[in-house]
Amino acid sequence: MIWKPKCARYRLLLALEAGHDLDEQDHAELGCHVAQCPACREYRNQVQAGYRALEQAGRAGCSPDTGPSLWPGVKVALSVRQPGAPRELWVGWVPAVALAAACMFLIYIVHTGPSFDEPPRSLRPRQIQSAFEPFAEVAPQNVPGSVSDLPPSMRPVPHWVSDGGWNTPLEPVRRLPTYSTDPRSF
Amino acid sequence: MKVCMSKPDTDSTEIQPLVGGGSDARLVEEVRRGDREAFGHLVRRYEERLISVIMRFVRDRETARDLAQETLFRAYERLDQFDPSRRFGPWLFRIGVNLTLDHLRQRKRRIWTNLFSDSPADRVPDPATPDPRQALDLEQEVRAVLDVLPEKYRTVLVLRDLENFSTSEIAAIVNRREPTIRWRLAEARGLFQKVWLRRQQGKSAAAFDEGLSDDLEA
Repeated sequence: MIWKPKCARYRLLLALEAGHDLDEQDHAELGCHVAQCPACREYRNQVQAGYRALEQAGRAGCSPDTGPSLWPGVKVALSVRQPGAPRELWVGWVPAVALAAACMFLIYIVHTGPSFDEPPRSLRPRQIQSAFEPFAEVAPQNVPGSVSDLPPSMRPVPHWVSDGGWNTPLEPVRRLPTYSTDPRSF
Repeated sequence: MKVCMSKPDTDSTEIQPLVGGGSDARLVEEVRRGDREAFGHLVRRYEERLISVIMRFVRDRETARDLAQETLFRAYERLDQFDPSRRFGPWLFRIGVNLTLDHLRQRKRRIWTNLFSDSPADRVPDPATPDPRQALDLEQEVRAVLDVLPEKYRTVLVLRDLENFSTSEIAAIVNRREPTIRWRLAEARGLFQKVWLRRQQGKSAAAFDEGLSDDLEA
């Protein structure tokens, strides 16, 4: 028997025909082809045999003993559930939202953190101003006899200058000793 | 390729709302308003068919009942997602079929895990034990062939040829277009025929698997 390429389409139609899923027009066209093609005739017999087996198996198990009604058990279980509560939607949302929030927090931290080029905040001159603030409150500058009217040599010395504040030179960075890896240096 | 929508009336068992309790849409509306007994009407209306369909896939009655119960729970919980302009039956069966297929996939993974965890001596068949396939009747033979088919073909064959759903209902259940279902049905029947024929002819297992794998890959 010779297999023809156009038989592929007819074999799909034959499979539909076996289950009565083909309309009259295609049925007639298929009949004409099958009458001329012995390979498709044999295929039709095989497909119908397979379908008959399926049909018989379907009939054999069409009325299984399904047991008592499920409703009593379902009713008890539903007493703790509410209709239409989309819990599973939330389950899907929570990880995504949590991940997005974590990413945004991380980006915020990275952008607002101190740069390596700047000195630490504890060494910035802002502290100098805040150190003078008590004096400014006690003696405003526009009041006669205030601290600003005194000559510089007579002005009170803030405690952070006298006890080694920011003017105190920083200790030099200790460098770890370096060792040569050149064997000739030993 | 034009095809009929359903089989002749003699064997058509489309999802029809039973008499009593009102239409599906009305019952769904009552459930949404808080009437739990209305859901009881829907349960009694569909439970037998639902268990029957699930049993086509899982075979074990208790497992099928558990899956059907879980299907009804999920349907109740997702009732706000149901479109009242559509039929309730296919929507319910879609939940049931998806749940059943998920269950089968999980079971398959467990089986593979057990296979790899067992010692090789446990897997060697006992020559004294007769081949259990010899005792299979027609229904079991058909089930064995269906098990070999890919899931998308098996689902369509079970729903159409064993449970007699119409192609439009199957399209609603598996959430595909109807022409896709018809095309898939034709391919599924052709594939079933090939496997069935080889099984009936009693070819050697190696040739069977080899030829089948070629067909499935194609």
